[in-house]
Amino acid sequence: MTKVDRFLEARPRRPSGLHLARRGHGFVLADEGGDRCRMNETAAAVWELCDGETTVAEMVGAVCLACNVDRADAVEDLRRVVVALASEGFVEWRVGAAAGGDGR
Amino acid sequence: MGVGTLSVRVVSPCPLLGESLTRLLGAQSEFEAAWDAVEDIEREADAGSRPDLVLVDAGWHDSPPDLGPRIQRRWPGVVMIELVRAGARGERHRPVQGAVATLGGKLDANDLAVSLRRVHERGRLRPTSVPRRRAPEEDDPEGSAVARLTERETEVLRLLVAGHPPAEMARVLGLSVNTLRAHVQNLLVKLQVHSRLEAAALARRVGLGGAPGPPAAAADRPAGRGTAATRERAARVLVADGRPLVRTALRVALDAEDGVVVVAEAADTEEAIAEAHRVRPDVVLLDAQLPPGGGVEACALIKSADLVTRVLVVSEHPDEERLLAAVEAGGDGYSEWSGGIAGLAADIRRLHAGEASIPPGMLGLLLRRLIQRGREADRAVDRFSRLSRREREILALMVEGMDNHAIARALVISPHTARTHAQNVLSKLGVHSRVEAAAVAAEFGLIERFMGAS
Repeated sequence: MTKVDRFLEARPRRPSGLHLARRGHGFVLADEGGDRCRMNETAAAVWELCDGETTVAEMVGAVCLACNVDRADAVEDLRRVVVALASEGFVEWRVGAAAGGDGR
Repeated sequence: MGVGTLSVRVVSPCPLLGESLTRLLGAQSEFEAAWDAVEDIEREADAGSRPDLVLVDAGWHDSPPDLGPRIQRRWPGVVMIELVRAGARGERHRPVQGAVATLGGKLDANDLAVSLRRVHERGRLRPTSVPRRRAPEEDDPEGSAVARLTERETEVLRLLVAGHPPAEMARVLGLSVNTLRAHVQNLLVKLQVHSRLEAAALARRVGLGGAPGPPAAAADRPAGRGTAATRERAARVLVADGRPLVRTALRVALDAEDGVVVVAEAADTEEAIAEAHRVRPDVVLLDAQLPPGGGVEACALIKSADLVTRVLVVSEHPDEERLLAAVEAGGDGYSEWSGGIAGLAADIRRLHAGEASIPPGMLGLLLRRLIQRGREADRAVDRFSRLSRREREILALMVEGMDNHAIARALVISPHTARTHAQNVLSKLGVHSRVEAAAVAAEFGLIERFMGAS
């Protein structure tokens, strides 16, 4: 299985304690301590899809249809967004079954 | 205000329609027009502005019931006209209390101007300081009648004058014979004549004759604003809407926007497809309620045609289902009337630049719905794959509406065997009726997707 395949099979999950709020034309991720991160609508939509059940491949398919982009571009866009969210701890990785998987 | 001009206040909660109508009226020297959202009525009145006429958009689904009295309270005695946006399916008309006249959505720009003048002259309670001018039709009734024809109707009339038979006219104009026939009927009504012969004779009398310009003439029409260079890069747009007035208003309003030029109009799906083939627009703008089947259906037909064009479906009201359907039909964008002309022009430019256009705040919902639909499709495909070849044939015939006896005859098997297969199909698909089975097969394109490969 290639790195891309593993990424597409991943089911990223939002950690508990974070919520999304609208601020003007954009969004912010916030927790009890206040605002943590500003994000645009696309990143916010992707973050909301990170429910631990939806695979990145499903997100890619939907983005291709909704935004009329090539699959390769959608994979790259999703990779950039999800990796950025994960690096800040705003999503956690889950691979394989929705309720299980070994995390990475 | 100049001498002889009428001050018209357009009251509409819909920015796109309000702005479009305002620009349409403002483009004519005899009108000065401004648009008010419903909540602006009191504020504008306080500023001391008093219009000669108030044109009230009565087709909006959430227009307040006290709109008429509110306008009358602020501008006592003002002549108020309601505009009914008829022509689209499912629209209801809430009468505007106190309106002295009702204008239908089927009227065109010339009808609107003439109607506003007439209502102002006849419906005003006190004498007007504006000297009454002779209407153009009083000086030259035939010339005025011809001037009221749309561009397409004028093209048809020119071909009538040249003596072309209907099939040839349809071919030259890139229309179906039915669409051509509709144009001919329209122009006969507008010219108030009873035959093509009479229409041709009238056209000759007013100096309209000869062959029409090349079919692409409309496509070459320059934009209303901008340099030659910007016009060259402008998105060439086909506007498809069943309401003549809205089409014209959109054309005038969009032509005034940078980077957009309207090159053709269409009144229904058939004409939209024909016009798209003729002028090859960069963007087709489809009203969500375009007759006869709606903008989404038209979108699917245009996308399945041999055309390289981007399609933007425009809806008066936010509608998540329609957004989803438009995307699934291959639409490149979805826009709402609430965004106004600037918003619509921005969406058109976005599509022209190769991007998609989804209304703000709807992307997340759309992605979730698409994922959900994808899972439903996967489940349906998984179940379909469990069917034997014979059961797939049975399902295909069920989709065509055949009962067990017809299926038995078609497949040369006994009715009993056909019934057994049909029951197996229902069981494997996890549905309870033939209708449900046919609906699932049709919804996810199972027959087309698998029968060739089975």
